Amino acid sequence: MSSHFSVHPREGGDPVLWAISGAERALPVNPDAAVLAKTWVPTFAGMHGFIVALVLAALTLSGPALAQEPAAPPDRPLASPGQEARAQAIFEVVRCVVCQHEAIADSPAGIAGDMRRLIREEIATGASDQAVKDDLVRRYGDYVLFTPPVRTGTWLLWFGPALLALIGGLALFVFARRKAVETALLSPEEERRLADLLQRETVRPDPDASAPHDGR
Amino acid sequence: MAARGRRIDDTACAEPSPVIVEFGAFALILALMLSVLQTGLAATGRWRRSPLLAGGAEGAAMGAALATALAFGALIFAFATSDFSVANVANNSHTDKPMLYKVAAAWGSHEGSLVLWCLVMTGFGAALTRARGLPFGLKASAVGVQGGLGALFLAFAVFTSNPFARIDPAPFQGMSLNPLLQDPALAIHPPLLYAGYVGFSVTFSLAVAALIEGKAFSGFWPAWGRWVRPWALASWVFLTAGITLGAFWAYYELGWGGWWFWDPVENASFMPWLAGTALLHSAVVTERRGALAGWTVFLALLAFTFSMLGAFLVRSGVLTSVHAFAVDPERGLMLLGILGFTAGSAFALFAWRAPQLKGGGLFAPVSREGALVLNNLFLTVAAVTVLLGTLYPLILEAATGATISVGPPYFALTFTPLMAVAFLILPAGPLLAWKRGDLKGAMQRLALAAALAIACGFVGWLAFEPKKAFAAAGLAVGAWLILGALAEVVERVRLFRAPLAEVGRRARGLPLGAWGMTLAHAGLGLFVLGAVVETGFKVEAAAPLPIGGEVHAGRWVVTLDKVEIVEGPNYLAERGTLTVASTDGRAVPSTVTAERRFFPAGGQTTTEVGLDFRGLDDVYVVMGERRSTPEAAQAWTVRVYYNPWARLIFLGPFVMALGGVLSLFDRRLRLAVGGKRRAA
Repeated sequence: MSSHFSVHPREGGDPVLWAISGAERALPVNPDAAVLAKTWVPTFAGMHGFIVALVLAALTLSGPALAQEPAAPPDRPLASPGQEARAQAIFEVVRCVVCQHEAIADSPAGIAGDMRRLIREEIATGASDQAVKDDLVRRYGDYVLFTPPVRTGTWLLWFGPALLALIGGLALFVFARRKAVETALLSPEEERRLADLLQRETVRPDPDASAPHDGR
Repeated sequence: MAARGRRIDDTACAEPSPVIVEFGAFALILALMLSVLQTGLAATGRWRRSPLLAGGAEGAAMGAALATALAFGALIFAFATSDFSVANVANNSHTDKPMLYKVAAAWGSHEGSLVLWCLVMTGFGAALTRARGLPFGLKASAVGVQGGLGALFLAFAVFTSNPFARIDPAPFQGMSLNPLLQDPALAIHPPLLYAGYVGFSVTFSLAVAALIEGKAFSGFWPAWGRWVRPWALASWVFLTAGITLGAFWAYYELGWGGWWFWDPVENASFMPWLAGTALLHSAVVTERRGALAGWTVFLALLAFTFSMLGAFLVRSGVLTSVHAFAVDPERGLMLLGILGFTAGSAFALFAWRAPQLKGGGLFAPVSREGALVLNNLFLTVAAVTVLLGTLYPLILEAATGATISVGPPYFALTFTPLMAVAFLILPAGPLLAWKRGDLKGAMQRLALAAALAIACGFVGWLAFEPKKAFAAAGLAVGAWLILGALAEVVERVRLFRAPLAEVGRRARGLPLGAWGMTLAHAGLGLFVLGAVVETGFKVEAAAPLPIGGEVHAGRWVVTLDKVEIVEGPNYLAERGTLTVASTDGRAVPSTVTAERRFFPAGGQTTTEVGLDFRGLDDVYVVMGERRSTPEAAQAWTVRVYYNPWARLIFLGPFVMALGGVLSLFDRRLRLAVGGKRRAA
């Protein structure tokens, strides 16, 4: 488990080969399981798909049909329901580091299973949620959490929307105030002329302004 | 490979035809030339005020649409006949595939989908020439801009992504389409989505044309709002349907029980939708009151810019995703060039002309206009939030090398509260009068709806276990949207306040647009209800099951009855048959099948989810790998999700799209788009 393990889908070019090597680098997993897991990840790269197909064919089609696949160890839920619920909540926000945009809760990849096991182990030993996440970040980098960290570089990301809403709201407020001034009450002279005109019915009342429901 | 030995000659249709393929390549180039001609003629026609030249531009637009359609037809033919001398076919098709997916593979690759994109663009361009009532200058300019857009994308197709490129020697067999994409929903998802994305090119063209023409005459902006609305509405309907279908596909095909994960590519389709929704609303203000003209023009430009940004993100390789096409930096650079050129020049024109746009009618802050402005504020901030969440990791990594992930928790903290506030305000908007609204009156008319919505939230809080305050609040918001939309109709037809005959007369008198709005807002409420309940109360369980074993999820118990090996047209599958019964025995047990499919051609494995529809709920069953457990020699990992009210998540947006369709048939909008259906 190298400390500089910062995976990214663009790093190694082809997702299939990259994923396999990534999985092997990351954790001591069964390489066959990693290969199988990657068959879930769709790829348009025909040649590598072909290689994976050969591997798979050797693995799965040795018998007359789908034969025994060497699978990753199954998930074993924690005995305590409370702890298991905490683990599940963490699975939802931790990224499967070899997948495209998947949480380890949803990923069938072998490494996701390993990460789930790791998190369960830590929770079982009494680590807090934050400690578990910190440990994941130490191992895999910020990339592993779907919640980006709040620091100088991400202020715009976190506070940009609120800032924009604030600026927009303020602009609307100022705009409305200015409009209100512009459309201030008529001068006495204008009032008198308007009343005069209305009296003579040369000005029709604005139909739009009257009913709340104008039928359009 | 096992598949190699299988029947190759079972293609029921015609032999590959080199002539048709060459003809398709020719037609695509012809379409490019016609689009260039369209722009040239429209520009000269506009400049010289020559109806003859402008008419020629319209003819060229028709021709370009026809030529692109022929090219697309030729491409489909090449796929249908499995002509592997065409590189695109060899890379994305296979003789074993069912015919539907052979045809659908025509838009399953980068090259093919680009032709579809161009087809929608030139098709909308041809429809634009049939739009009635547009003044000469505006129409000529819009046709010219539309032709320019078509030419750029056709040139991109012809010069960097030729879908008809040959390979020699032709391979014996194709590499097949990604099996995840071999699904009926996904066969029609891209055409719908593209109709939405590219439909906004017409609003873009009309906006640029309006900026070029300036304020041509008094009353220009209300008229322009009327011209632009049907196009925006039609695109919005397509996009809504396309995104919903995509989410539904992700839900039942990817097998992880979710339907939206804020994947960058999902976001890429969501940004134009948000901008388009804002555009729909602000165009109403421009049409009715002549106000917000500059802002509506801005949104019209923004919607298509987001569409192009989405195309860039998906096709350039900056993102990796289920949806991303093969990585090619050169194509990405060229797309970025197209995006930069079109959006850059359009927004530069906007910056130059916008200060000259005179504001229309005045309005008080509390008014229909004010409510729609607020709607636009929320939707725009929401679109920017999605934009930030999508691009920030890319920009941060390019700038500092730091890698971060932006996923659901980020959007739950930024996007969701924003929308929640917007939804609280929404029902009041339609009850406010134009110019100056009566907020107190609107509140009084909504009081009953509000009380009922709060009651719904409280009932939900009692009914659902475990108790969640947030979910109860969400339920109240969803109910509020539906009841608020109903309250508005009740108000307009004077239900409970006037004699029934009067109510009936009023209901018949309501324009279709009003019903469309009510339906769309109620559909949003349905979606909110579904999303809140599904997210808050879904239950997930997984266990290795031997034959006869069972797993519990919520109030459901799922039993694995049998597992058999089945052979599909181009795959082998382990098919599990499972019984879904309720633990209390009250619901009728039913049987579902779930499969794990292996496609030898591409070497991929996919899951076919077993879905047991239980009213609004789903019991969602996924077959996993075979493994041995200490208890049994043979067991299969079965994952079960109980997704309460999941049906509403897809029904809601469908109702919204239906509301859009209803509005499209509104008499006032139909006038502006009279010739459209004839041409399209």
